[in-house]
Amino acid sequence: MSNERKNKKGHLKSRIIGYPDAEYFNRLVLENQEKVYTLFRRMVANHADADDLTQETFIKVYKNLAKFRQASSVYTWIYRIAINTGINYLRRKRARQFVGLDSIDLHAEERSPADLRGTSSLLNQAIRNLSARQQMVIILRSYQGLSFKEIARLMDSTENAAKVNYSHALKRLRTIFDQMGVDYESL
Amino acid sequence: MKACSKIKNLLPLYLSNDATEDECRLVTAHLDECPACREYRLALTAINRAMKPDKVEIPASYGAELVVALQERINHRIARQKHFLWAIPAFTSLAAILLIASITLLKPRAIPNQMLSGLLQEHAYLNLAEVGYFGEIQVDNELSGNGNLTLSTNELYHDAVNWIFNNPQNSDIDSYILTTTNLSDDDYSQIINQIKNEIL
Repeated sequence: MSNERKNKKGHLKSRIIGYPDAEYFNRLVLENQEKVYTLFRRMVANHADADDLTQETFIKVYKNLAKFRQASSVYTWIYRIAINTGINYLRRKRARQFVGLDSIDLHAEERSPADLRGTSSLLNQAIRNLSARQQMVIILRSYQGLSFKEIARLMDSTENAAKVNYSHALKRLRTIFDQMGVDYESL
Repeated sequence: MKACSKIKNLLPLYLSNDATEDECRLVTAHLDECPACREYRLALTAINRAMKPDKVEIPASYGAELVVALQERINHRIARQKHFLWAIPAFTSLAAILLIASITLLKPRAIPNQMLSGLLQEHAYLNLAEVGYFGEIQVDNELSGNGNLTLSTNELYHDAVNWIFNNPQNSDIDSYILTTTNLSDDDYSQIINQIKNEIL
């Protein structure tokens, strides 16, 4: 039986019994964990945080799977949940930054600059100053390589809004680097 | 300046190949004649280069570990829900018991609200008789067989006062009268006066 047919059968079973069929749910986890984990790994500094967010996403999937109406593919639906989970995380993180809770990085010594999404810590520092949605658009476009059309679909917005967010994010990064007096060649 | 602002908005899309053909032509033409925007483009190009993604390494066993971790969390959740489901009837029963207890305990404990003037009504009379207030009269009445009372109000007062004085063990008179009949002030004064007269 093809994966698609298995998924349809599993989903139908979940709808009938009211909660996810364990076998079906485990298969969804295994099929989608890589993309979800990769998204979060680009967003956060370490494996533990990415793992927490991945688990949080799949727990939400588990809770809502019986209600999933198949208006979109199950992959799109899961990825959308992951993106919303990520945006909420970034918002919480920004709020903590504002009250100074994140100013001390307890794991700074354990982490090499390459750990931070494979980019320079200066760039990461600058990206953290963007709004949660701007950060997410940058991650999806520049790191995950999604088109603006896909980004719009996943973030429940329009293609134009996604482009504007991206454009503003880059402008803001440039302003931050100018304020920091960064030499662009060193990035 | 206005043109520069528009070009700066378009440049990120131009550099990521997301601008339309018209937008590309506009940007190219403007860059040829604007050194400030050319410098801006260099900065954005450097930022884009820095954001070049590295491949994310996923631990080989991550998928299997994730399934196990999720299963544990789900089992824990189901166990918690079961506790909660068990707790619902328990809490409901407890609430029902508390409700019944509060209704019972808070219910006025006085004898039904009867005025002494209403004692000529048979049921009121018998209510008081139940608590022993007019026990002897009740017996007489039952013996008469027809259930009709022939005593006048004054006779009843008189008997009541006599009964109270013949049964001093039934504690103090004021509280007894107040708790067994919910007297109006006038009736209460009348009885007290009669009692005083008997004493004098």
